[in-house]
Amino acid sequence: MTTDVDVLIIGAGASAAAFAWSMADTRMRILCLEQGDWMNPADYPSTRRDWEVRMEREFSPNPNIRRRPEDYPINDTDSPISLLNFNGVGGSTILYAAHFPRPHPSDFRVRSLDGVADDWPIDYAALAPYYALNDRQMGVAGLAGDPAYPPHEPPLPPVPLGLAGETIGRGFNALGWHWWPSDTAIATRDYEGRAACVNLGPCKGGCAQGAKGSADITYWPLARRAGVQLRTRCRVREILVDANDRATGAVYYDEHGSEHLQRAEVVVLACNGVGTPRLLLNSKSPRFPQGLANRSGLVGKNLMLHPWGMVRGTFDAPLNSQLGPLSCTILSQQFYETDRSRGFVRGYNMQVTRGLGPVATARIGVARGDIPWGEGHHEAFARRYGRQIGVGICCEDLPEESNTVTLDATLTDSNGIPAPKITYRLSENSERMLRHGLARGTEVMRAAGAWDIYSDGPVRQTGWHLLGTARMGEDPERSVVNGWGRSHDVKNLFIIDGSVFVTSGGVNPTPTIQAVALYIADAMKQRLANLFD
Amino acid sequence: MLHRQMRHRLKSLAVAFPLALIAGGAGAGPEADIQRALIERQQRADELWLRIQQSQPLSAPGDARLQQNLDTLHLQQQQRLQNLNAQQLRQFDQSQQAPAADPGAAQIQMQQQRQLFERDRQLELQQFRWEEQRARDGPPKQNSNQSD
Repeated sequence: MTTDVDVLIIGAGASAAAFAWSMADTRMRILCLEQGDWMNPADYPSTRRDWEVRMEREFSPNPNIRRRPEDYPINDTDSPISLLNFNGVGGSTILYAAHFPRPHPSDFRVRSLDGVADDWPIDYAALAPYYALNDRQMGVAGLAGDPAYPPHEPPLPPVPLGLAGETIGRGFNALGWHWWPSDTAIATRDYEGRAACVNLGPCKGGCAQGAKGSADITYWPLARRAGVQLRTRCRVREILVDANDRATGAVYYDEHGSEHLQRAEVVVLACNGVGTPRLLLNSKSPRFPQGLANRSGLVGKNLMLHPWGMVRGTFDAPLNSQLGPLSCTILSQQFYETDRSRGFVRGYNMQVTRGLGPVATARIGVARGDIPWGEGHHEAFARRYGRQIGVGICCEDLPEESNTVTLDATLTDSNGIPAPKITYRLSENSERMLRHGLARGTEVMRAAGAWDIYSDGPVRQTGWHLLGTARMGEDPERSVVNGWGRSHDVKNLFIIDGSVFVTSGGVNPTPTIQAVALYIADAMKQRLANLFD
Repeated sequence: MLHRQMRHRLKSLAVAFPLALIAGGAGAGPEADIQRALIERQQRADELWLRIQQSQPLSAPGDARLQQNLDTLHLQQQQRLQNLNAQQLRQFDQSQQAPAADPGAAQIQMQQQRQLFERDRQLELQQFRWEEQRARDGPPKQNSNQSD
C-alpha cells in the first residue's frame, strides 16, 4: 500500500490538468494516476518524413488501430461512429486539433428554450470567468468581437486565415452567412515558454513545436511545480468504498502489472466520457451492485458524440491549403441556434479546415476515382493538392438514454479489465441536422468557387467528443453528480470530465470541459470545511 | 599546339563546370533544405522535452533554496541545449559548402549527420538528467574514512 493522499485524480487529460493546477494552491497532497506516459515531442510524427503514415498507425486517434500498451480496446461495432481518444499525460489534447470554440449561453438552457433534453444546473455566466482563465492558461488565439458570442478577448492574435480562409470567407460573404476566425489553442506568438506556430500543419499528430496548447505542456508543468504528484503507467481497476458509501481509494496496476492500493480522502474521476463510466461500472460492490455512484442507473447512459459531416471542395487556384493548422481557420455559426422551420431543433457549427497532406490527398483521390493510379496521376494530384478546403459540420447531439457505454462481456485490456462497449444511434433530429449541414456546406463551397465538391456524413473516424455519461443535475434520480461535480451517492467522489455534460452544444468541448473542471475545483475550495455535507 | 591544348582545356572545363554545378546542387538543393528543416524540428522537440522534464515537483515541497538551485540549473541547461543546437546547424551549413559529388551519397551523408546530431542531443539530455538528480539529492555525503 502506498502513502495516503488527500486528493486522488484518475486520468491526466484536459480536465485533470486544469483541476490539479487549480487545486494545487490548497497545499493538499494531490496525486494523479495516469495509465499512459509522458509524450516526448521528439517522437511525434512531424519530426520525421513519414509523418502521414505514422499519424494513421501509432498516432492514430483510434485506440483500436493505435494499440499502444497503455490503450484499452473499445468495442464500437454497434455504432456508426468510432470512438477516438489518446491515453497519456495531456490525454486527447495530444492529438486534438485545438479548435477551441465556446458554446453559446443557449446551450445550457435547451429545455427552457427548446423543450428538449434538460437544462444544465450551471449556466454560461457562471463558467465565463473559467473560460477566460482557461484561455490564458492554454494560450488561445482569436479575434475579439464575434457577434455570435458574448464579449470575450482571446489573449493571442488569431491564426492567419491564409488563402484558404480568405477564399471560403468570400463564399460565406456571398451568402450573407456568419463567419469569424475561430478561437484556437495555438500560440501565434511565443507564449509562456512555448514557441510560436510555424504553420506546418500536422497538429493532429502532436505538436513538436509546442505551439499547440496540449495539457501536458500548459497546465501540467505548473501543477507539478506547485507540488502535484503525477504517476504514469498506472491503470486503475476500481474505486473502493466503505460501509458508509465513502470512497476509500483505488486499486491500480503499475507498468509491470503489479497491483497497488492507493488510499485517498477524495477521489476525482477525469477519464473522459467513456473511461469514467467504464471505471464506475467496473467498481461494483455489495453497496453498489450496478456500479459505483449508479443508483440513478444513468452511469454510461446518454452518450453524446457530435455526429460529424465533412464537405470538401477543390479550387482552381493554388491555396497553399496544405500549410497552417489543419482544423483552425474560421467557423460559421449561421445555423447554430434553433430554427424549427429547418425541421430539427438546436444546430451545428461549421468548422473550416485546410487541405490534407500529400499522402491523404492522393489516397482519397485514388479511392474516389478522382486521381488515377499510373498514367495521369501526377497531373490529377497537382490539381488537388494544396487547392482543397474542408467544412466540418459539428452537430449538437441531444442525450438519448439508449446511447450507452456498457462493459463488454468478453473484451478486456491488457490487465484483464473489462473493456467498454458502445451502443449508439443517430437520432432523427441529428440525421436531419446533419443532412442540412452537408447541404449548406456544399452551398458555401459552390459560392466560394469550388469546381469539385463532395460530402460525407456521419464520418466514422470522428468520435472525439465523449460526453454525457455521468451527467450533472440537482435531482439524484435524474443525474449522477450535482452541479459542482460531486456524486449524489458517494460524497467524496467527484467527476470533472465530459461525462458530466447535460447536453453537448454544437462545438468542440475541450474549452467547456476545462472550464467546468476549473469551476468544480473552485467550488470544492470554497467548501473545504464542509465538502462532504 | 598551344591552341589545341587550350581548346582541349576549355572543352574539359565545359564538361566539368556543369558537373560541378550538379554536384554542388546535390547538397544545397531541396534535399538539404528538408534535412535542415528536420534537424530544426527535432531540436525544437528536444527543447520542449527538456522543459517538460524540468517540471518535476520537489520531493520536499517548499524547499526554496533547492528550488532556486534547480531553477538556475534549468536555465543553464536550456542555454546549453540551445548552444548545441546552434552549433549543429552551423556544422550542417558548413558541410553543405563541400557536399559529396554523388547526390545519393550526399543524401546519405546528410541523414547520417542528422542522426549523429540527434544522438549528441540525447547524450546531452542524459547528462542533464544526471545533473538534475545530483542537484535534487544534494551534495554527496562525506565519507569519514576518506582522506583529502
